[in-house]
Amino acid sequence: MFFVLIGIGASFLINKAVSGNQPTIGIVGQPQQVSLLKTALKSKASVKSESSLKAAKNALSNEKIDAYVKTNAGYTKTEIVANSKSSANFDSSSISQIISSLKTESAVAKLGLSAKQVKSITAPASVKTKYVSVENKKVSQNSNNGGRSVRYLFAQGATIIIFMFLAIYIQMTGSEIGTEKGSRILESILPAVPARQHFTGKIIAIVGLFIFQLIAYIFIALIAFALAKPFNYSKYLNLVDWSQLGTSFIVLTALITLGAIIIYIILAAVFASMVSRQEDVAKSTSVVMWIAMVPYFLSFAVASSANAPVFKVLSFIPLISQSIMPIRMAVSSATTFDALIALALQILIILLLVKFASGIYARNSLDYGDGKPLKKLLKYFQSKNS
Amino acid sequence: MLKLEHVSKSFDNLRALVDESWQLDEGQILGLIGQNGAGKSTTFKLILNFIETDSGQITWNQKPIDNQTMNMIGFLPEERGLYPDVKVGNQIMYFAELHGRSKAEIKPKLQDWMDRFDVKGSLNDKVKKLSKGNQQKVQLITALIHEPKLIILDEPFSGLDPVNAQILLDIIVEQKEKGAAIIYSSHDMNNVSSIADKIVMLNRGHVVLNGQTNQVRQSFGRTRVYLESPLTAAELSAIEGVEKVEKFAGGLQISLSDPKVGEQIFKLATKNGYITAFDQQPPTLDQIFRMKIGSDAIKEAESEGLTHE
Repeated sequence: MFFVLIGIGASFLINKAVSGNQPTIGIVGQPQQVSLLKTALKSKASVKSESSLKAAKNALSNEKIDAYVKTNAGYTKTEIVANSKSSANFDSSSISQIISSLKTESAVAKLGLSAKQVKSITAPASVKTKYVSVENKKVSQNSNNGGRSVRYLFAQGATIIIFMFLAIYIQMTGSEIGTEKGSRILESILPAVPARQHFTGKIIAIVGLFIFQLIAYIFIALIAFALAKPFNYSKYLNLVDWSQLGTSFIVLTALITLGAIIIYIILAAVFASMVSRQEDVAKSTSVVMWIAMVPYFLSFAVASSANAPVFKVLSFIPLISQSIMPIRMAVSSATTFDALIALALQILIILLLVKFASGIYARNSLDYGDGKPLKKLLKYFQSKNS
Repeated sequence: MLKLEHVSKSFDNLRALVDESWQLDEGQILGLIGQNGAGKSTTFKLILNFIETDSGQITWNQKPIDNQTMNMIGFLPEERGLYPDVKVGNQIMYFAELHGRSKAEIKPKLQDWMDRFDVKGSLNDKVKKLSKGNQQKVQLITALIHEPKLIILDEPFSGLDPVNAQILLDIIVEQKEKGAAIIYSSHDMNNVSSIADKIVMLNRGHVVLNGQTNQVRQSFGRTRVYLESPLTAAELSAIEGVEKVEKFAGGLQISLSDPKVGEQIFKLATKNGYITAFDQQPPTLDQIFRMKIGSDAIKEAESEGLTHE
């Protein structure tokens, strides 16, 4: 929960930093123009009238305004002067756009057209945006154009839930393995079960617990829905068209989540097996927690730049893909095939990790030296290569 | 039969074991003695496949120890550890199941084992509720419940009072009579000499003694005499062949360079008739340990409580 709060806080700060303060804009022009611009810019800036160009320049130099706009009667010639060092978020393109449309309205009015004609000319064109996938010079339709927002919300929500599960299971795995080693129980277990087998069994058991927990939650949710029926909750649920999510999107997100949890459980187990005292377990698994936080925070930036090469690459990398691929899929930046590749890479990494990690575990399970986990890890790979 | 042949193991620059060889038959008890760091625990770890040998081989009935063989081994580690929040009965059952036994097979035996070890607590108590001594007894039960053919006990007597140590000695002998091969290490030489058929003494990774306990002692000759007589220490020290005379338990402990000198002392001591004690024995394991390991090591060992008079 603590990390979720950090995430929400961070995204709020990022948003705040991006949106910034509203700028104050001075207008040099006729009173009618000032009034029209005030209405048009209401949501973007605070607008005030300046009596003359000199007064506007003074206000700008005294930092009483962030910019001024000087325009003539027909909006044919406009000058925008803005303070580049102002902390306010000044967007000159939207002001240019507004002035252009005011110029059109003014020109149309001069032609003596009827109100209906003016409305027809100035009414915005009907623009329908549609997202298609372009691959190998072929354009294909995305089946779920309408569901982007629902899918995005689902993916972003899933990212937060994935992180919560990761935090819980990293901590749980570390504590389980660290306790067995630190309290020397392992010395009684290993004569019966070889270390590699014990490690693999432990990972399977923890993954089994995770799947059981998910099934239990689904079961509890079904009971809750049944009990809440008299409260007519369906009208709220029906506000969202859930069918737009798509089965493949949900299944792949769930499988990638499961894959990520297995990978992080293995990593937590390896790091926990390298400590000699129970009290050091939290310190050692914090390394894994830090690794898990990277994709979690990256996920907040993916939606707006889903096609950036860096996110495209990261969405296939195990350890990171669980936070990026679902969002790329949600905004139609990645296809089902892409997600299947990410899943296949996860499975490959899991198999390799189990092989290496069980070796590291076997080597360290009865090593009570005080060396740092990362040093021990390096030593293992050095001895492997020598 | 457990056989170690020319086993060596090093850790970085430390030679933990050098060319260790010995064997143990079924129905025998072997006492593994040596100071801390002599290589006892390393020997156990190698037998249990926790670590691999650098050279040499370890076999059980002429075959390397594998996963199947592990089910026939019972091990009590030096550092005890149980799940504190698990009930005693469940804990014992868990370890038995790990060794391939079924619940149905083990459940009827649980109370019997608790009674034999005189554990003060019930099968439904959580382990953390028991005293340290009783936790240790539960740990011993987990090592023996599956009736192993090879039993390895690392310092099994540490933490046990004399009454409970005797209970354990009786159970070890009972397991031997059932045909199990038992190896144990102990700081208490009395426990080793009283029940061990064989001893292996390690010093800095080297085997310095290996053989039947009695034969090992006899090989040093009957060079120790305990005497309660009118003879004084000065009179005894004057006899040729007497190396040392010390006061011990109300009498005198005499070290001889030649066992034949014992006869001369007996004649002298009994020239006026009856005396209360004359006992000529080979050196005890403690004394052999001192002779074999050297004075520096003895100082170290005494500080660790390894030897006693």
